[in-house]
Parts: sequence; structure tokens; C-alpha cells
Amino acid sequence: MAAPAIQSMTLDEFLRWDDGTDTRYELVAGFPLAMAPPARAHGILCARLAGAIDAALRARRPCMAQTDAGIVRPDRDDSFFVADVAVTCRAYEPGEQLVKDPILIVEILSPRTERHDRHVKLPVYRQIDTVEEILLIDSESPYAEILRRWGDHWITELVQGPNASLRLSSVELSAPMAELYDGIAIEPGE
Amino acid sequence: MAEPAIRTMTLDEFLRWDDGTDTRYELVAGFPMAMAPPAEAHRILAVRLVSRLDAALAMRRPCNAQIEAGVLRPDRADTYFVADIGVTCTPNKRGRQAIEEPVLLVEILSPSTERHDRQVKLPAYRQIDSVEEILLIDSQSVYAEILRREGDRWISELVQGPTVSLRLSSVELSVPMAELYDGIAIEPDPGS
Repeated sequence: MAAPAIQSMTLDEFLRWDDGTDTRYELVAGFPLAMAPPARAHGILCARLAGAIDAALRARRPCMAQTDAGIVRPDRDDSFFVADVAVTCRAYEPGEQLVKDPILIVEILSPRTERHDRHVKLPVYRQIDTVEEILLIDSESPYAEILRRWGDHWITELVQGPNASLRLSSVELSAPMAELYDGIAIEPGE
Repeated sequence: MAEPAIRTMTLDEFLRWDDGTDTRYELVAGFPMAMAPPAEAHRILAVRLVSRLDAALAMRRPCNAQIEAGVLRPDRADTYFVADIGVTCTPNKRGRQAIEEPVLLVEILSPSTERHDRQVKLPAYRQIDSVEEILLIDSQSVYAEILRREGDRWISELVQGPTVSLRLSSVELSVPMAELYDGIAIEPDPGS
């Protein structure tokens, strides 16, 4: 059995660390935090989005979408976040654990993780110079929020309901919400 | 005992309704929804904010800050939200329940209500033409988010940590976060 993950780690130690299980961790201010196994709707939405985004990038290789993307803080080396989906246009190099120069980062929201995503991860993502858009998309209702860099500011756009379309300018994607959520049992809307 | 609040109501019925208890309700798409009693930190932060907001408006009467402001959706008459704080410059009228033409709406975030605030109330607040700013401020960590209308867009500004100040242009208020959160037990900040 692996040692309990209670002592603090450097980013370097964390990246070489294996707790002997399949549990995924993030490193937050030096402390490894176990990530809850995602609900099924989360996995469906993740696959659908990553597929749609990657298809939209086909003509723009080496740009590509990846799931469970490792993101580090630009200002300190004691944190490692795992984003549900990220896009970079940097060519992949063997052995790379981090996404370099992400232009789009996606978090799929679940009630249990939404607070961590919004209060801890999102402020960090906004500090990464290359990031043009951050997408927060809910796994339980057709609701998405796009944060888009606009000069020195971030503008926020809401995308709600099955009749709306999700438009991401960073990857030139437009996808109907009804298509993204097709077959996913969602909360009754208003 | 009052009847259980399970049937739908019109806004008018809702505003005249009394369930016989002290429970507060919102009306969401015709359904009265009970609001959870706020935690202590929520109430401390509410008082601290509303007092500063109202003081900042002392020279601009009839502008005023009010707690538990009733907010109507501009597009439908089956919903009545209760914002933690609202600011309006419309003079108060006797007997009026909802806030008129709010310029600033504040929601104090708690883990149990953040999702409802963000996904249900916030989209409605953004549709109200008079609203210039929406403040989301956390009761468990030194964290605030200001949504500011800029033409057709909404800008999102994060205010985090005890060393920065919260600046609201709609009411010309600037207050250090340390002062707002002074004495409020907050969760250890994993990001600092």
C-alpha cells in the first residue's frame, strides 16, 4: 500500500510520484489532493467536447485537444491542476506531462467540484498568458459559461438551454447545446 | 399550520402569500422555493457590506442600499428572487415589495447556494437593463467576483486575498478585503 499523501511535495516530486492506485491527484500549494471519480454524465460530455474541439482543429495541426490536461501555475511551482480538456498549438514532445501554452481550457462542472474549479483553478487559468478562452460547462443542465480574454479584461458569456449554440472563437467551433447534451439526463429546466 | 408550498403561484399570489412561518421564499418559474437560513459568516458579511454601501450613497440620495432585495425578472412574471443586497436610485414608495431599477446586486456565496446563485439568479440579473454591476462575494474565503456591464459585454473581475481592495464603480466604493472579512473565520486558502 502506498504512503498516505499528507506530506507536501514539490512539483517535481509530484510529477514523479505514483501512489500505487488509479486515483488522480492535483497538487495545490504543495499538497496532493485526490480528485473524485467523475460521474458518467461528466465523462460523456468530456468525450463529446474533446472530440468536437479536436475535429475543429484538424486543419490547424499541431493544434490539438487533450483530456485530463496537466496545467501549472505560471507564478509558482507547487501546483499542478488537471483540466478536463485543454487545447494547445505546441507540437507534442514524448514524455511531456504538462500542456504548454494552452489557448483553451475546459472544466466540466459537477456540484461537488464546481467550487474548487471556480475559486481555485479558474483564477490560475486566467493568469496564463496564452489562454484565450476558458469554458465552464455544467454536467447536469445545459449551461455553459465562456470566459474570453478581451484586452486586459475577461468577458463572460452565458450559453443556456438546448436551443443555444456554444461558440468558441479560440478553436473556431460552434456546437449546438442540444447536440452536446444529447442523451445526457439533465435537470428539469425552468 | 400553513399549507405546503407545492402548487404553482403567480407573482401576485406569491407577494400576498404568507405561509405562517418565518421561512423566506423565492419564486422560481411559479414555484415557491424555501431559502436556507444563512450561516453566521453570511450575515456578518451582509451587514458589513450593506453598511458601507449605504454610507457611500449618503451624498447621492434617493440612492440607497437594501438587504433582501426582491428582484423581478424583466421577461416573465412568475419569478421573484431575493438578492442579499440591492442598490437602487429610485425613491422608495410605500408598500412596494420588489426593488425598482437596481444598479448593483450582491449575492453572498455559500457552498449550498452558490450553484443556484450562479446558474439561476445571475443570468436573470444580467438581463435587467439598469444593473451595472453584480457582486458575488464568498462567505468562506476571501474571494469576490465583480461582473461589470461594459456596453454589450459583461467583464468579470476577481478580487482575492486580504491585501487587495474591492472596488465597485456603481456606488463609488473602495474597501479593503481585510476590513470586510475582519473576524470572519475563513477556510485556509490553498492558493496562497
